[in-house]
Amino acid sequence: MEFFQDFSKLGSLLSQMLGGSLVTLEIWALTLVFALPLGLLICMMRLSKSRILSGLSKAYIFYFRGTPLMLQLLFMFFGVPLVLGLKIDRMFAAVLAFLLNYAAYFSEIYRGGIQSIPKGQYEAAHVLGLSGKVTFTKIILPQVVKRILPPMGNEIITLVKDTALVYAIAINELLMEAKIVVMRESTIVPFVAAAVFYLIMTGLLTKLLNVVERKFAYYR
Amino acid sequence: MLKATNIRKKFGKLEVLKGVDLEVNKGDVIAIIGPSGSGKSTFLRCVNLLESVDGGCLEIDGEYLFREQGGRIIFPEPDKKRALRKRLGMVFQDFNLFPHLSVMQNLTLAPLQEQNADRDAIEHSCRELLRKVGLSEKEKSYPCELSGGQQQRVAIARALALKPEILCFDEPTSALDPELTGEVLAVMKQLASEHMTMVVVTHEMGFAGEVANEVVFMDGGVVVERGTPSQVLRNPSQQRTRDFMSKLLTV
Amino acid sequence: MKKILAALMAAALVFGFAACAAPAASNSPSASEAPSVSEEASPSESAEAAEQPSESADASWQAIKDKGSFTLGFDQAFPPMGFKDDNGEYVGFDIDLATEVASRLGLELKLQPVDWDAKAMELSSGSIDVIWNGLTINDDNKKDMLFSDPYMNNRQIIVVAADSDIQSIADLAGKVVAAQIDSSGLAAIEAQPDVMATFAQLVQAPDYVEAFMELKQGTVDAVVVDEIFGKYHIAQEKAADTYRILDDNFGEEQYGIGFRLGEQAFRDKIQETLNAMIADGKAAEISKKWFGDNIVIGG
Repeated sequence: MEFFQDFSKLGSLLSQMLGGSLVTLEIWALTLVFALPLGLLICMMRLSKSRILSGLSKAYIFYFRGTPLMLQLLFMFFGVPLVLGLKIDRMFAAVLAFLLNYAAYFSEIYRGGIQSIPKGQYEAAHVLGLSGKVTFTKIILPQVVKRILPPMGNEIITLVKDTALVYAIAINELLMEAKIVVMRESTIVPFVAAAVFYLIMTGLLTKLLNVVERKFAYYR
Repeated sequence: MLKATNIRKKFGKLEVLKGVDLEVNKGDVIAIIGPSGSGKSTFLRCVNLLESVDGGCLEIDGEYLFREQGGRIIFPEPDKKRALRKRLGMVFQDFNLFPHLSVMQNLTLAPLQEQNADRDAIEHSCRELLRKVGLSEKEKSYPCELSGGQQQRVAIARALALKPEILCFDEPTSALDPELTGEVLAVMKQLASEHMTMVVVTHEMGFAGEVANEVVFMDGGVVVERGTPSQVLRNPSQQRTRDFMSKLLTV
Repeated sequence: MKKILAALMAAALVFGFAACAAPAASNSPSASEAPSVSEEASPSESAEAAEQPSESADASWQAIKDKGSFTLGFDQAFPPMGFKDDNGEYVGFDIDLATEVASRLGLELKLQPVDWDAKAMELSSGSIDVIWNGLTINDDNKKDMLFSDPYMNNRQIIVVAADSDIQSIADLAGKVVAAQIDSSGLAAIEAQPDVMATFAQLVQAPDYVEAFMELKQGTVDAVVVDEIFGKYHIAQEKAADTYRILDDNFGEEQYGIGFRLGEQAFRDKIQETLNAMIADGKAAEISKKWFGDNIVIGG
């Protein structure tokens, strides 16, 4: 292919793709940092005895799981400023939309994990006089983490690829950068390169997740 | 030292405890026996506050852990409740060890939560308990690496680590293969010989006959008969007790 | 207490979204308030401009002057009008024009890539001040924005494979035709429903390069594309002999600059400066740099 013979072009392609990958990773990391705890909070609300809290949580999950992420992204960037009359930064809108959406999924994964812990664990903690906080942080949560690793791993890897949606509010993540070069150079080589970049990222993540899973393999 | 009066409990419409009384004195070993569904496990769970009760009163040394007032169950304030609750220990049928913690961590976790906990002293006494149940070399193992009998012995040590005054056992050998029940019963016998106060819900008639000083026979949510082992097990006065005993013998 | 606060925040979010759903979907009602028509508007030569409602004293130009800059929205994947080059810089014919306009007005030009499908929303939400990127002047777009005078002609050309038997629009009957989603090419086809009805299928490609790829693979028989971009692409691909451009086309159209509805004063100021650039030959110079020829009109 002619494109490959022009090294300066290949270099600029790579640097553009690298820049795009950094944006992709930034959205990915920020989303995780906030969505993981927020998901837990929503899950706790869902499981709380208060009808109001669990109702709110159910409504939250219903909305964010029930509408396309793309739509939520567009609402966040174009809708919210319209209603509130304020300007919102593109990156901020993107991360906010992603973390709210992913928190809904994470909360359901947490719930599955928490509800799969046998009742006997709570009873043992109770008769040992452990407080609710100690029971949750030292007994339940560590076991939940092991149980939810596989479904969480799925979501965490899906998130890498979902970040491509931010093109809709003109953030230049990896796929958008590839498309720009495709349009400029009239070749599809950049798409192939984008695939390789995505595979590198998800491949490294898969490895990392395997390491973490092995760390938890010491007990059943 | 422990007095349960007129304990009543319903699961939906089903009345599983129809007013059960029990008095435990220091050094007592009380075996509660009866057919499955008789309410004996539920009673023990109520005493340990694992089930809410619909009526009745529970006292430890004259201080109530719950009591009935105007048709409602009231508890003392949380700190007092926890302090009283701590005087009871509980061993479950399914062990309920914490799988993600080592044997030693299972034992030390609860004592370490207490104020001014001294880690060295706690670890020392827990090691002592492990030696007592014959598992000194397993302190770094995880529950999944142990046999059922070993797990139940860890569970007993874990309950003892909090220095309870009364230790309750809910069918401690029912989940074990027959060849493993002996090691658990041996530990329990040893505790009895050290004058540990124990309430044991069990199907082990041999253990009840040999170790208990009082046997309580429950059926249909009530105490049918109580007395010394020789009275209840060998010379029951009630027809229902005789039926139960004869069924056991024919098996 | 903390729990309650968190719950309230969550509630606010949920209902906030529900509330904003409606206006976002109905494409900014606030921007479409009718501007008062004034006869005192700057004299405009073209019929296009005369039709547009104008305001003599809106604050739009003053607001831009106070800001000291204006933001240009463009599709960064639309060479040669505006795109990101090898060095990651935004370049293109339209961007050169706008840079010159801004410098003559003593303003800073800010470049903001947008998703072309969302350009009208970007404009009305205020994240950009103008759309200046080979934007076709048509009735559809006029509903959402105020236009400058046309500054360039464009045609919707029909590209087929070199060895195709298609020679005219009539030959497209029974064929698969592709155009870009939400493009003026698509609008031009849809404006001729009886022609469109003869197609076997009308494929809406996400972008032109994909449309051309389909043409190469034979999954479509013809691509309707902006002449400006189509010729650029064929030159880039060095594939003049694989494609053939039909003599027929889907109509002439003109490119203009899109402004927010009601911002007549700002529009007039930009127009005035552009006209001066056309008069003194600067626009022609920029055109020659990008197209080898002066294809700028108006002035």
